[in-house]
Amino acid sequence: MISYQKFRIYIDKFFHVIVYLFSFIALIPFLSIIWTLLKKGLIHVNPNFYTQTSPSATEAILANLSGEIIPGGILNGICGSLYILLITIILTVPLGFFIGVYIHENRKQKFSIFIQYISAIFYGMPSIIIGITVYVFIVKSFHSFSAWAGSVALSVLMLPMIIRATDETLKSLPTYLKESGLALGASYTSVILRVIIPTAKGNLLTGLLISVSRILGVTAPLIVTTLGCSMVNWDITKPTSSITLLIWNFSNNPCMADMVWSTSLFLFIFIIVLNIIAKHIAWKWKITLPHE
Amino acid sequence: MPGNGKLHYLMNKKHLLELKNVSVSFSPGIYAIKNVSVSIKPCAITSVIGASGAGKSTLLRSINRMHELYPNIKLSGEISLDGKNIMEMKPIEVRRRIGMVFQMPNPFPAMNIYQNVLSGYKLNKIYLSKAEKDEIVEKSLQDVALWDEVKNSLNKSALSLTVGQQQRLCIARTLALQPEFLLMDDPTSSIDPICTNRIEELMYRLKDNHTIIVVAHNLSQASRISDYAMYLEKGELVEYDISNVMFVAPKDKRTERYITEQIE
Repeated sequence: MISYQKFRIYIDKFFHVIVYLFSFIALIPFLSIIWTLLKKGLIHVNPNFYTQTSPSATEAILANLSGEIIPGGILNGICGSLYILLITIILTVPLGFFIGVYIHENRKQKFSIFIQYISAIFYGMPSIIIGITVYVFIVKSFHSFSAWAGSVALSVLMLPMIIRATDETLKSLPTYLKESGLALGASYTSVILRVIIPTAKGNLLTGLLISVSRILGVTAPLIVTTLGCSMVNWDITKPTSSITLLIWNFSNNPCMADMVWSTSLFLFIFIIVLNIIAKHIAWKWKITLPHE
Repeated sequence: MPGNGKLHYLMNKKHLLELKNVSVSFSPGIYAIKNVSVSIKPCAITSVIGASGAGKSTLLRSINRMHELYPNIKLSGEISLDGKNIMEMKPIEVRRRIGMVFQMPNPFPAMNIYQNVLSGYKLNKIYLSKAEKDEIVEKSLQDVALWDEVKNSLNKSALSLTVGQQQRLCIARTLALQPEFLLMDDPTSSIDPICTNRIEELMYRLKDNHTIIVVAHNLSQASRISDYAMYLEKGELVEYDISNVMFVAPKDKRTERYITEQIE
């Protein structure tokens, strides 16, 4: 007869094994993705990969026939992604931040509740729907695919993330911070700008970087808004490439299939680096508040 | 013997704080404060005593309009500062004249010690020269007997200080703006007896130039430091008197019962 105490120990051990087993199973797809990316992606990684624009289909076919590495790189994609991202950040961050502050400070106002609903809906909105909408309103109206149309589409996707990140960050701050600022006779704006934001800057920046890393991987809206371009383009009104668009284009051409892995590896590492920076900022700028 | 500041106050008969039929409700029909009328004596320490939930902190917070941060809280009656209804003044002006120290020390985490002392000026966009800043920081920290402890570490984070030092820093931050009144919501509740003693000494010194209203959960502290005391029960002002008189021979049975219970 097993005593009750021993039974509890066995149950405890059993659940330990289950937890480790499931964690390992969950890791398998992640590890296999990383392994495949490294194995297939490293082949094309050379200095030209970052300094040259994407190859044409003919160049890729000739390289395949002669068994050589496909020439060219993803410079147009890197520049395009950074350019579109920069415009997106400029459009989104101030707006998202102020809406986040407004929601946090007026949670029960009707207009605030309305914005919260809209923000929640857009947070989970499929990106292709946003892309199509921007296509109808901007691309068709201006008769051109463009970098700014892509940025608007990404902004609609990013805005709810910034709003939520701001709101969650402000929620995590204790009320006494605001009260003690106001008790000194400060105006409400002054307290927000000089007390609340400096205290929350680490979390706000972390939220921004995580939103950026999520936006970087978005493809569908860019297909219908920026279209892509084989050259580096800095004209905001012209079609522009991006890393994800290059992955999409390469995957549609069997001769360029190998480039998919290298480009994906680049994007993967870029997002990993962004996440590491975000974690570092969160750790470095973490402010341990009194009474925590 | 009153100090020069006190003489100045009394001679000019300025900075009078009066409450007339003040009621505060959190929801319709539920009052945290009921019809409190009192004239606060200038240049003295008035302690507010009472059981938990009696409305002490609510009373204090309504005096510098902190209750307005919560839209569900409604105030009726009149609180006047030098004969002027504070509800007709700008909240910023009220809060600058009536400084507040909270129960828990709450220095601004993103500022160092020096910046914390000057935070009132920074937040109010009052620009000072470096010499003026240095003078204010030194004087304010000396006022709270913190200067000697932190003069070599003014650039350190305010959170690096002990809880007692943080509370004194918060008082220095409030004093730096030279308020006429100081509201202190049980400022020694989270600190050790040595620091408590220092803050009590500080309050005793400050009363020469400031009118202090302090919420005190500790009855012996209230009797030690205060010149006047008011006893609140269920939001009603039961008794307001010279503290030595109230603690020795309370006029109201309810005050007597509360004091007896606390002593026992």
